[in-house]
Amino acid sequence: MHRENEQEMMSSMSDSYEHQSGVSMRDPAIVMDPRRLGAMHQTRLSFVRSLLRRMYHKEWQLNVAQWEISSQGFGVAIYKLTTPNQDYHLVIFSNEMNDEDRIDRVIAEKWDITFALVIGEIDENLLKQLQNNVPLQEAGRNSTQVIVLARANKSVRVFEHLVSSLAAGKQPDTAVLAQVGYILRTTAVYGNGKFGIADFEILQNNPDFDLSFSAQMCAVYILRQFSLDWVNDLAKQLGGEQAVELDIGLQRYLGVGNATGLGMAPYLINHPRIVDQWLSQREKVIGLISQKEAQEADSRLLLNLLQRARTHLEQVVTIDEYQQQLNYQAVLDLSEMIKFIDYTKNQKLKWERQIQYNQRFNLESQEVFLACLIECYPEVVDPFEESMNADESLSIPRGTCIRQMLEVLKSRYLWAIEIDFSQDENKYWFWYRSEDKEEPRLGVRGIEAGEDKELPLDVARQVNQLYQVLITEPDTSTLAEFLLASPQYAGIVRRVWTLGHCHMGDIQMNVLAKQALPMNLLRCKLSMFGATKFDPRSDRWVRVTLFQGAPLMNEIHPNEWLFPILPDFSSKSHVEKHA
Amino acid sequence: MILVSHNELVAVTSKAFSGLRLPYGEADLIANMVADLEMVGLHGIKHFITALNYLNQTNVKPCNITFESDSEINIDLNNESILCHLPTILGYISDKLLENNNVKLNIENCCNRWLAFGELCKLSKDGISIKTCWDDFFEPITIKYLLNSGNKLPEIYINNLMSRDNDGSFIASRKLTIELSNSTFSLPSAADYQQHISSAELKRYQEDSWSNGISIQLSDWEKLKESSQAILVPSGNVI
Repeated sequence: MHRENEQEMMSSMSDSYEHQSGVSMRDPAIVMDPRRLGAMHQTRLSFVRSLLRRMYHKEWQLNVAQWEISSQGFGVAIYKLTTPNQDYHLVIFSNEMNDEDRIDRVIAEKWDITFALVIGEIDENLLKQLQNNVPLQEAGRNSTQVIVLARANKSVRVFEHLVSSLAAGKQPDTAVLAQVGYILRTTAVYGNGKFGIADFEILQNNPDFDLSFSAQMCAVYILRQFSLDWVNDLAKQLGGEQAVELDIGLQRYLGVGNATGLGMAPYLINHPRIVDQWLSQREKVIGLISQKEAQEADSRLLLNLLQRARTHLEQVVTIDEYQQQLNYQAVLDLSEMIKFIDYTKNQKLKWERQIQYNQRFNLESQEVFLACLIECYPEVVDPFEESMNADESLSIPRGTCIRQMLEVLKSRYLWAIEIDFSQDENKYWFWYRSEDKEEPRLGVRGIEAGEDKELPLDVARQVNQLYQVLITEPDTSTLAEFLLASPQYAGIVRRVWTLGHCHMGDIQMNVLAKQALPMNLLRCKLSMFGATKFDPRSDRWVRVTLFQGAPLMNEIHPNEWLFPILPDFSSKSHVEKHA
Repeated sequence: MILVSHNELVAVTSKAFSGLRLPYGEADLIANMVADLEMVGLHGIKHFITALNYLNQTNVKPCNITFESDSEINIDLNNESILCHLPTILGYISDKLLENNNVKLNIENCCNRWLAFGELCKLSKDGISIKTCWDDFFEPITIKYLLNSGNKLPEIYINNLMSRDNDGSFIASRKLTIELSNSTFSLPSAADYQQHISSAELKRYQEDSWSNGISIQLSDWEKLKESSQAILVPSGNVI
């Protein structure tokens, strides 16, 4: 796939490594290409991974504080999380609902499970408040004691199969689990002040959850533990003495599902410095590792991981034919990459050479390789987890003149300047917010209503317009003078100047273009979270799993759990042993 | 009353401003100007709701410089809100401080001057000291901010306004004066003012807003939310 584009990348690779802040990084044109972002996978730097390392190193403890779950699976469960600094509680409400109400979109109003991560103790009053508000989600109000508010739906098939099998004293059919990979899937996990809960600002001084999205990831991790305890408990309630617990390997194999739609895409456009920070840190890691000699690496670990990645991709079940094709091709490509590792090592080459070689293959396999390689250098990677937060401000230094701005535009935004916006296909979509729970959506310009309320996510078009105007201005004038007369460009000027001086800068994507794939944006963010098992359900929403393959709370460790694969239960005796 | 978070307030205000579809003004900056003022207890939301009356498509024009020297500049905003223009005006003025130690800015015929708070606080982070004063349009008071470079929050001094018209009513003015300096300003004696809101007091209020949420009147919140709905598109509409 994309052979012609790969050649372009190959030719640009010769000058793609440049010295920036002491670390050589690839050209932003390579890294911020939306197709590459749309091929990213979990790495050691992903948030689920840094969270679990912190939980291990700081010896966090998790206990069930309250369990009032009926034999039908409804009721309240509370988990107490103890860190060296503070106690937290995850309060979970399991609600009865009709199958027809179970929808994953943000417009849903009922969910199987609603939950909140709360700082401190839960007294009767607080529990009552939570009971009255958490199940309502967006329609409720919560206090700043709540740091995460979320909901999840069951995979009814997996849930029922697990409970009935375990109750009957049998381990489940692994094929059923492999199809899905989770018991519960979240449909929204809110943090940072949503619906009255605590702002992230407060958590920045909290040594437990000062890293972006760590509180949200923690809530999801505890939910995963709940989902496992839940099916084990229900099986016991149903089967009594006959019931068995779910095999530990299968418990590890099950994560938490997540359904993500277009709503996530505007985040990546509206928070460009965060995205730059994530990708720049990741590139610094890759830059440092690429300068290491291959022969010094633990090649057994790398080969194991690559083989596991191949198995993982073979096991991923997706209805999306394009993704199936990508996975199939990646499995083949990875074999070729594995063969080249011997050459890289024997010739005493640096990983940079292998990464260059890999560019002949599809982006999916290139990204898999990088994820596996990063895993081999924990001492290089782990310090970067502390620098994933970003200052979001956009500003222009005093005295900046138009000539300087044009230099930035020409050196960093050629991808936007060269787009011909007089062509309909380059401004085909418009983005808007629907009246249905303010869900972000895409409309076809000139066909669908709402263009008059278009969201300003058109960074490429704004940059293009700014450039066309600036080239007609005297280049010695200052930007401040220009903006006083033309204040409509103030936002894009601040953005271009700031991002143009960041290592990776803006995502190089015209989100208005007919061929633009929002899926690429979703996958970029989800992989930074640490999602696995990408299963696009259309070009606008995707199902993934979080914490699939992760250690359970009672066996938590700081080591890798990349690319989850189904435990091998081919022998009957193994199943019986666990029974 | 209702407790809202900073992020919620910024999001709703930003949508409310975007819903106006004005040619100028950056929604994210403006939302933060509102939130910055509200967080310290100086009624950012009420001022923004008032501002909504002054923000409309018909009277928004680039600002008009009526006088300019190296150290002083007069700008006429034609009774517009400062919201759409202040960030670019301050950018322009602070450039002048590269050549001069002090610059005075007189913004004539402008509205919603309390909302300048957040943008002025940003300047002090860049090493600029600020002295700001204006007479309130609705109340007979005169307000002075002093914010020396490096300080995060200003000292605010308020006095009853003495200037009265022949009929005894106070003379309402819509002028905002901002002095910027590379040096620090000396603080006046608080005893000379009827009210002094110290930076320490503002900080305490701000910290409380972060920790416990921002307490605002439900009716104001509802108005703000209603304004924020203007950006929404009804489902399933085809032209």
